Amino acid sequence: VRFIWSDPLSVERALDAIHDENGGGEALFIGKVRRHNQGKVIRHLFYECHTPMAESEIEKILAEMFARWPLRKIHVEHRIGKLEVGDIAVIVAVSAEHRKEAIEACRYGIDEVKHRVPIWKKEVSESGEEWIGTCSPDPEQDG
Amino acid sequence: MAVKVELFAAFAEYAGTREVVVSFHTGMTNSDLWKEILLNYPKLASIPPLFAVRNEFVRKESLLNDGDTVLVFPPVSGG
Repeated sequence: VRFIWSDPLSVERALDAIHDENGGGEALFIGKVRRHNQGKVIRHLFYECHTPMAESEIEKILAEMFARWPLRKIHVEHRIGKLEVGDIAVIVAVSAEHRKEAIEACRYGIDEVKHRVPIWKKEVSESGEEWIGTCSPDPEQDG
Repeated sequence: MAVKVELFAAFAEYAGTREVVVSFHTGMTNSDLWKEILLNYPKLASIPPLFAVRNEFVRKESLLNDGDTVLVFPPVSGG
């Protein structure tokens, strides 16, 4: 399993990966680069990660999701490198027999990926460059 | 008697380097290591560091061993 990609992410790949004949409910979260952030006009984002630790931390998150909910399949992919506005930065996809556990687990998955996985983004906007989370007053507002 | 430090993201950019070598002393913790680094790279003091050794997060009070490689991460901001 490979979670970190320098190539464009694929919703189709994610949906194929979570397909399961008992997967009656599928939840999909797609995080994209948006044009405006905290009043700034974004030109692009640059993502860096520590790949071995990012891969193992995502592996742990998946294990927690499987332990907490009766899920069929999970697929996570996160992109690194230069991303333009509208590009997909992260996908979390979950299948389960029913919608409730699929939606709850998907929400948990994206929240934990954002909070724990060693990935960092630098925002390049019309007003300059800034590593997010280092001097922002409210890092929860970053995405 | 040395510890290798690998810097990431904002730390690497602000320090102008991805790798720093610091001399090791017995009883040295990650906090001690960071204080040594800040002497040479004071600009890094504005960001709270996360430490990892052998690809596992460790506490700032954790003791280091001679020859360790310490990864120093800024707060994460993926997604």
